[in-house]
Amino acid sequence: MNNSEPNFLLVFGLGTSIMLFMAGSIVFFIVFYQKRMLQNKMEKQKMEGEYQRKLLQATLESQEKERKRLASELHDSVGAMLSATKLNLNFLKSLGDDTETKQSLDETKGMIDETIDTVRRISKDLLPSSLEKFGLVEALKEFCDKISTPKTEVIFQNDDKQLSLKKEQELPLYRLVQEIVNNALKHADAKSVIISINQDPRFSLVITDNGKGFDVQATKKDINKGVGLYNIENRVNMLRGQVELTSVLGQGTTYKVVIPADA
Amino acid sequence: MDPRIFQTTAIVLSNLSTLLAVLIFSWYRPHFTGSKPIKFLIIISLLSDSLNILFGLLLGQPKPSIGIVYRYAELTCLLWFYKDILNFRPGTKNSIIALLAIVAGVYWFDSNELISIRLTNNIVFILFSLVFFIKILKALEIERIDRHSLFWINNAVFVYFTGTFFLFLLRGYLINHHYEEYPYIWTVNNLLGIVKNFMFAYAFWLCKKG
Repeated sequence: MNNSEPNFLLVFGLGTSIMLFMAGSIVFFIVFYQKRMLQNKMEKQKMEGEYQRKLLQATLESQEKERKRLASELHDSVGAMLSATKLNLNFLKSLGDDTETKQSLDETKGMIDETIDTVRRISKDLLPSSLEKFGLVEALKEFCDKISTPKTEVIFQNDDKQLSLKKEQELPLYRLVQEIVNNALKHADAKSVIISINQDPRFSLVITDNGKGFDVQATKKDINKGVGLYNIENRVNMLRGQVELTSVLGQGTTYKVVIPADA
Repeated sequence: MDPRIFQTTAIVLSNLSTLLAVLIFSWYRPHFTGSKPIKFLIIISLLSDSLNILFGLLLGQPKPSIGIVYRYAELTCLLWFYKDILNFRPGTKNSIIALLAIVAGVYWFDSNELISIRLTNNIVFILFSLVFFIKILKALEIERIDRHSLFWINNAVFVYFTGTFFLFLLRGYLINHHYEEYPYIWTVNNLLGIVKNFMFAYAFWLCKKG
C-alpha cells in the first residue's frame, strides 16, 4: 500500500465503532430520557388531578354549606313564622261567629299547613337530617321510602355490617345515590331501582335499575347528555373511589361504586 | 479459512436469522402500524439471501445484482414503513419520490460508489429513525418504550444503517486496497443484519405479548 494513502481499514474500523457507539448511546438516551420525561408528565398530571379534585371538593362543600344554611333558614325562620301565623288564625277563628269567616279561616289554615309541609320537605331535601343523626344507612332507607311510589319501587338492601366510611364521606355518597336514582327515574323510566351497600372489606355501593338503558360511550361523548355521568364520575373521584358502569339497551343500568378503606 | 466459505457461512447465518424473523412473524401475525412493509422486507430479504446462497454454491460466488435489487426493495419497504409511522406530508412524499428517481438514475448511469443506493439508504434511514426518536420524545405517549414494537423496529433500522455506514461509504476503496480482507470485512454487514433480524423478531414477539 502507498504510505501517502489513508489506511482505509483503520478508517472503516474506527468509523464503524464510533457510529455503533453513538447509535447505542442514542438508543439508551432515548429510553432513559423518555422514561424520565414520562414520569415528570405523570407527576404533573397527578398534581393537576389532585388540584381538580380539591377544587371540586371545595365547590361541593360550599354548595352543601349553602344548602344547610337555606334548610336552616326555611325550617327555623319561614317554618316558625308559618306556625305562628297558624296559631294566630286559630285564635281569630275562636273569636269569630260568622260561618263564612270561619270557613275562610279554615281554608287559609289548610293552605298554611300545606305550605308548612312543603317547607319541611324542601328543608329535608336540602339537608337530610337523618343523615346527620342516624348515618347513611338510615338516610338511604328514608330516601327510598320517600321516593317509592306505587308505580316505581326503590328498594334498599345492606349487609348490616359496620360501615368503614368517614363522616365526611357520607353526604357525598348520599348525593351520589340521589343523582343516580333521579337519573334512573327521570331518564330511564325505570320501574324498579335496587340500592345495595356492602362492606366486604371495602365499601361498595351497587345501584341497579330495570330502565331502558343507554349507550355509555355515546352518552359520554355527547356534551348535552354526558354531564350527569361526568358529575357522577367526579363525585366518585372526589371520594378517591372507582365507578363501574354497565348498561344494556332495553334491560337496564348498573352502577358499582367502590370506595377504598383508606380513602 | 477460504474467504468464499467464510462469506457463505456469514450469509447462511444471516439467512437463518431472517428465517427466524419470518417464522415469528408468521406465528404471531402481529398487526401494528407499519407491520406490512416490514413483513415484505423480511420476506424479500429471505429470498435474496437464499438466492445468494444458491448462487454461491452453484457459481462459487453470490450475484451482486441480487443485492442491488434487494437494496431497492429495502428502500421501498422502509420508505413505506416510515411513511406509515411518521405520517409524511404530501410535500415530503414528493421529495422522497424525486430523491428516489435521482438515486435510481445516478446509480444506473454512474457507478460512483459515493452516491450508490446503499449509501442513500444509510443516510435516509438514519435520518428517518432519528426523526422517529424525536417524535417519541415529543409525544410522550408510550409508557414502556422498551416494550414497544415500533421502537425495536426503528432501533433495528438505526443500528444496522449506522453500523454499515462506513462499510458502504468506503466499499470501493476497501475492495481496491484490501481485496484479500474484503470478504471478512463484509461480514460486518451480515453481523449487523443478524442483529437487525433479531430486533425485528423481538418486535414481533412483543406485539403478540402486548
